[in-house]
Amino acid sequence: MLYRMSRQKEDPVFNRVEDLRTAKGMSRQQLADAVGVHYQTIGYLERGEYSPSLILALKIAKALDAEIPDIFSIKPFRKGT
Amino acid sequence: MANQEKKFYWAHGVSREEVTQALSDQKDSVLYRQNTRRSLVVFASLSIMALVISAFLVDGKIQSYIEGIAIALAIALYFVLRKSCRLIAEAPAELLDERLLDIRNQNYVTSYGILAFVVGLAVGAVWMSDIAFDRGMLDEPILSRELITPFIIAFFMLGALLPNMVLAWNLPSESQS
Repeated sequence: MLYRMSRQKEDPVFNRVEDLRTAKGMSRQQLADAVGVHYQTIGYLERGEYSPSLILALKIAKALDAEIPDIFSIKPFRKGT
Repeated sequence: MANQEKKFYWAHGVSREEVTQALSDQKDSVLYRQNTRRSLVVFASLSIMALVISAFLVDGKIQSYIEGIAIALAIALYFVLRKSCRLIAEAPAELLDERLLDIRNQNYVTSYGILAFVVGLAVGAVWMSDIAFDRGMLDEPILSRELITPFIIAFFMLGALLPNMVLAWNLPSESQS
């Protein structure tokens, strides 16, 4: 039994955290510090292995200067968006 | 600020500084690999089993040696397991983020279940041996001090080690990328 990182495995959450983070020139550690989580949590989040809570999603949106629908989606993002 | 860093959480047996250091360690340590963690769990299990088995040894000298080695090994493995799990099992909630808090809480539910099962087995075994003694099937009751002491020590060791054993078994290998 490995810990299931996603809150709901059946409903994956897609995200563009890595794209937006690297576009802002932020490292995982910097984003983690900005939103108050462990740096590995950012990694799990970016790989889709963990779905954030609403409060964490809001903090990430603020740190990345973006809106939540631009960062998280229950459908895959189209390439180039 | 300096006082905050030195804050010691007495109920958890850890300080803020050591938890923060353990969580922020980005070295590619062999202790953070799943194979290593699981090997440590196997060794911890064997040391507890050795303690239980030593209770049935007739030779007092050999029993003492095995007890001593098993206890020393269990204590050493406790600290190594703690380090390999980044003190997640011991950390207070305020020092963990939501993901780590989830992991820690799931871990304690599993650990509690295992401990309850072990307690149930132990109580059942003592109860049945008591019945067997009453019916003349055993020469002496199982609750003699020589026999029960290693069991009690093993039980306390299991209680101390179990959260980190369960956590170490389930945590995936860590990627530093």
